[in-house]
Amino acid sequence: MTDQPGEPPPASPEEPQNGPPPLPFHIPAEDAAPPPAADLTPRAFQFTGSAGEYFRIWIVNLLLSIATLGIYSAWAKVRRLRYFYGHTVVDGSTFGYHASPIAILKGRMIAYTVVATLAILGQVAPLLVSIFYLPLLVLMPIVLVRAFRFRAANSSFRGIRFGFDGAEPDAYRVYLLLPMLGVFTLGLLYPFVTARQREFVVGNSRHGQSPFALELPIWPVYRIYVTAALAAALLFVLVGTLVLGAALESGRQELPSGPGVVAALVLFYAGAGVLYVSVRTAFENLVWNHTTLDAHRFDSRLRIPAMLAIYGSNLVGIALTLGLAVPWARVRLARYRAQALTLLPAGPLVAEAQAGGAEESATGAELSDAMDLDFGL
Amino acid sequence: MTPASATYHDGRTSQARPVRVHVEDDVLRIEGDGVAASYPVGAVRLEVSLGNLPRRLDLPDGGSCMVEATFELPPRPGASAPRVERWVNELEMRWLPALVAAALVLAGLWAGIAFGVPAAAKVVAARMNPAVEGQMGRQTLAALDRLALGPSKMPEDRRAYFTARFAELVRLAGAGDEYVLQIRASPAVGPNAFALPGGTVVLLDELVEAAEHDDEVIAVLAHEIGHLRERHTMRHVLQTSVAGVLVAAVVGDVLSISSYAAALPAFLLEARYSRDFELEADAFGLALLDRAGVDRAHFVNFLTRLEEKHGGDLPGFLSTHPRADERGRAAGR
Repeated sequence: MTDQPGEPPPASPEEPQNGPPPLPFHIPAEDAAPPPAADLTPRAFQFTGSAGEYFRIWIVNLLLSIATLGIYSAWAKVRRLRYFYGHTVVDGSTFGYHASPIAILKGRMIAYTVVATLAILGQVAPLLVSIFYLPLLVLMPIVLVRAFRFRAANSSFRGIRFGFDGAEPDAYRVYLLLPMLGVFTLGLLYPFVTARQREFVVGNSRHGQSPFALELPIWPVYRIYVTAALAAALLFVLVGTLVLGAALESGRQELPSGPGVVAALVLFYAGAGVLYVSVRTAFENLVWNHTTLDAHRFDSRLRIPAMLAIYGSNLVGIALTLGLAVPWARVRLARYRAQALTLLPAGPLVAEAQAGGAEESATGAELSDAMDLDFGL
Repeated sequence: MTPASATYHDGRTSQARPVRVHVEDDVLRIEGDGVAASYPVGAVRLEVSLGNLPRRLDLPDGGSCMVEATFELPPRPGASAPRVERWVNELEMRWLPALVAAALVLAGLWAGIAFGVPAAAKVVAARMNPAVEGQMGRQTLAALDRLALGPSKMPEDRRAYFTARFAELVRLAGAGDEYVLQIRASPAVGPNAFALPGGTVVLLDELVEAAEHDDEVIAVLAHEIGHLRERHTMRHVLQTSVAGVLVAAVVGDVLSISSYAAALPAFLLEARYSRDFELEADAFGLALLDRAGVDRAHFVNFLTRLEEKHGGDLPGFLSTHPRADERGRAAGR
């Protein structure tokens, strides 16, 4: 189970508002001069966190989490997300994270119990365990909707909370029904399903009253996955050749072994990693470049070679330092991703809170049934 | 207190206004750019600091101010500050506590994986219902029979001979009749024998063919009985699951390819645990051979010969079995 630090709320920024003038303050306020012409210059995202500072935060919180047998990890998570949100800057302002550690702790306890039970069952009775996955599968869309809602409602920008309004029936459609159809089409539907899922998440998000929208053109999505599938086929041929070679060399009587097999394994894992990162990167660009917030647009220019270099060096750094380079790895990934993203305003960047400003109390009710979950989708 | 500069958000629109904030007589005043407001200090909430991030000051009407990291509200009698978080923040700000924490985490992780997890798994495995392992063993044997094993081609009397010697070892080991010897053949697997959870030992024809003396086969069977008596399969399952979770909790989620990043440590862990089990089974098997009046030398001779013939060229830390010379030393030769 994982989450992605450094990725601010499902989407991020701000809005325009040509509508009515701001509500009168209940605080005395001399009101605004005539609105200046909107500044339409692109606003670059930026990540201002530092690896050294985050290392200290991370290691202290990690020690406390271990010392408290994981209880403190919920507080640690809040501090981590506050750090990453708080250091993500666009148009001179940063993001806020507001979740209560207790709510996170509850979600974690449930999730870890389920995962641990399944892991043990899977080892003890591999044939029976599938039965236990069934209810989990049926509940999954509900759990996802709650997790999205939790994350959005606990994120803010300039004092305005984000929100997620995705409905459960729609979640069942994109997370259960479509993937099941996908199985019957031998995976041909997979890119389509992935696109629909992302549209569900982004398209039901909002910042205050400003809606995010996402409509992914289907051919570019398919192009990403078809390219990856071709590369994967090539990889299989190479790995297969190596294994076959090793098998011939060591004779038919035994399982193949030796340097050929080691090389094949290395090639397989490296190739799979490269494909994974490439697909993710291309897809992330595509999603941002088709996302709108009110009429504002985004421009994401992640480069696959740069991402591969970051992931690769992160992996090496983490392995060489026995994990101590984790904070450095997270910070440089966040920095690159922020730096590749730009907000293209279509008007003044102003958002309005939902329900006349009572946002905080309005979300209180829904938070009580929202559940936090870390998931590595 | 001198006024501090801050950014004000009213909570209704996302407009940002530069303001000055100051506290006087338990009243917080915010002034500037069309804003003039005051609140009792007791009604506002200041976020705990985190590094040098600006802190959010939540106002009772839904508005908020972003203030500098160094901004503090004057202490008020009776107000309980979130003390733990403040203390954590103090630690986070300096290098010495961070380095101490790093040393403690690494030491703790190492101790937990090397000693804590195995010890806990031993206790838990000893309390688990043997029927569970029996179930696992039957499923595994059925799968192996389908995929890799064929019927033994050894003559009937040879099979009866090994079955009888096995029964003798089981009796000497003080185990019950749930311990069963299954003889199979598998050219693909080669000379081998293995213990399945619940009490089944599988002996392959190829191992018998590779032996120069029947007692060499008996020595291997004694070793496999050691795996069963020590409940190694169950302990292995418990240990690798728990240790894997530990490693993933620390290293995991980093690249959101957690399984990927955790694959190497998990692999090394698994190999290490497996080698420890082999040595434990060796010790048990050798003691059992002594009781059965079989020369210990047969075990080491056989291992050495197998290793010479079938490689063993992986360095120790990558391998799931210790090297024969190590095992020979442990056997006291």
